[in-house]
Amino acid sequence: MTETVPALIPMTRARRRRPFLIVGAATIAALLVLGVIGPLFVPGAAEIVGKAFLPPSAEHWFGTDSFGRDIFARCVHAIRLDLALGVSVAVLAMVIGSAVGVISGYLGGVVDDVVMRLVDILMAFPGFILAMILLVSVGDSLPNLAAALAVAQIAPFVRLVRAKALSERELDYVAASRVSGAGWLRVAFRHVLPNSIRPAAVQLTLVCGYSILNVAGLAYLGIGIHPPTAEWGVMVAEGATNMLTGQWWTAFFPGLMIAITVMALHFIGDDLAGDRA
Amino acid sequence: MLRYLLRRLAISAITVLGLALVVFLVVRILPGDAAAARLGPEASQGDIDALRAEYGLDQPIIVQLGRYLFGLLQGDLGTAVSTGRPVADELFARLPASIELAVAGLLVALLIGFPLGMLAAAHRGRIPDVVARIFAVLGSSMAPVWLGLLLIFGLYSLAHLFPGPVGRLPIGMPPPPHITGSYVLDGLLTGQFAVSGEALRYLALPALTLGLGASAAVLKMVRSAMIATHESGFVRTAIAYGVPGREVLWRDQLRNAMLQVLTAIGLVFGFLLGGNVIVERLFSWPGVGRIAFDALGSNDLELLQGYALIIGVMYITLNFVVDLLYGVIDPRIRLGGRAS
Repeated sequence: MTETVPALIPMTRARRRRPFLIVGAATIAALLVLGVIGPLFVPGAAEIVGKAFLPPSAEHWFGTDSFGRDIFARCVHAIRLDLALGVSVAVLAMVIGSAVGVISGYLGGVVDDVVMRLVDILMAFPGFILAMILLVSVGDSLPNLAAALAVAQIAPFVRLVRAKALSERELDYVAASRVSGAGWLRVAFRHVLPNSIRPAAVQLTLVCGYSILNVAGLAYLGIGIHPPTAEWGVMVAEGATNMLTGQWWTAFFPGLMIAITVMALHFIGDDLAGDRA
Repeated sequence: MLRYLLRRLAISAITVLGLALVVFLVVRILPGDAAAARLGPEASQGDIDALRAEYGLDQPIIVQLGRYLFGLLQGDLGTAVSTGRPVADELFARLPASIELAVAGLLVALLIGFPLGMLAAAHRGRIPDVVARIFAVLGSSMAPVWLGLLLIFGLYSLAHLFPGPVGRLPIGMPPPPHITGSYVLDGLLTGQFAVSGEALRYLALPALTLGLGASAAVLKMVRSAMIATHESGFVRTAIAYGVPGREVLWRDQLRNAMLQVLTAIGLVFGFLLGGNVIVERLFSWPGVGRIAFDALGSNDLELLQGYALIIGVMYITLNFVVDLLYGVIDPRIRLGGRAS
């Protein structure tokens, strides 16, 4: 779901212990390493390594799926795709949302009113539904999936950056820049934006996580990424029926990978947001 | 208050209109041809054209838009191409099931999130806070499908505590007479307590799936609201005057924190609405989300359009009510004239 980030504590305030940040960052780092070098050491994503539905064992850590493919290997192969999707969606949404937000907040007036109404409309949908409708409309493909998920997450970025820009534009340094002859675009992007972007940075980590969750949700509905691609959400969807017949491992481990990844991102975001959030 | 109300109403109306436009435009870019999909691969081009003409799909976009908006004003959401029935009928028939599920999910979220959030705020920085924080992160990190599967596996397949994912009632059990549309409530109202009990058992797992995820958001918001009020001037003054801690907590902090809790409810409900496609598919729950899923498969754009619209309108209405309650609770907002 979409939630915005409350007030931040000043960056200068030093805090000694930050266990959540450390755990989160270490997890993501470990995933990155596994994602980059892991595929060299495990069987291929489509390779059939044994019988179907072998339970987890020393040989097949996460067991095998209905085709006899190694689930651990597939989970490792999926890391790159899932992280790349999460990050690109979050960055795309942040770049567009921040640009619109800073212009809206800095200019104010009619522009701001129009932008805020548009944001209201975007926010009238739960992000997941918006992404679903958009994706169905433009057609399934990886770039379209990323774009649809990004559009669904733009609104909170606009709001966060706009709110900060509204207060920043009243400050002396903005006036100083203006009287020294800088145009509005330059003032907005060169001066106001860097000072308004921090709440968006927290949102970035959260959106990265939502996107991975949303990819999984869409995959379960049969849109976005399809089998036989090795992607965590697709694997959960494929394993959903096995769960009811007792082969719990087919959906359990890919879902666990999602949970661990998103949790690590949330830990990082929560730490950046400060302990009031 | 009247000015505030009118302003909020106008904004909501504009948003609904914008929503209708956006839904229409988005759905019309759909690549598939609903008429061709409905008639199947053996249909001749002539049949397809005839059906397209029947539904007005051959008209220019602007004419279709005009008809669509005109129809909306009369409560006409068009005709579902895949079933031939009016979209409004399809959706409204299924809406009670979805609302029952969403409300149950909201109750679960509030019952778990609220006390944990207060506990975390009261013990800020100490063990209960850390535990609550981990719970919150955990709750929002699980894919809804996965959480649902875990609950089904644990509480149905292994423990046999709850029924499997087969809908709202055991197969063969007739639903209670329609009063509110909620089987649990209707069973109680008509004295069919056995039906009501079964309905509740079937409701438990899907509601838990939706509510657990949402409880994390409630927890976070209650916690930060309680902390914010704890640090505010009036609480500090009350404490300085020697008002007992418990009284400060219940009278000053909680009442002021309620504002943000209202926001939480609005957001959480959005989350519940967004999650219903997945949860309704997983639990074979016959609600609007299930219709949306079927519409995805049959490429029925009219139906998808209606679904998106109905979700959006429910969300806007809810936020409108939240805004109003804000104004009622907090005079600063209605007098300032702008709540955002």
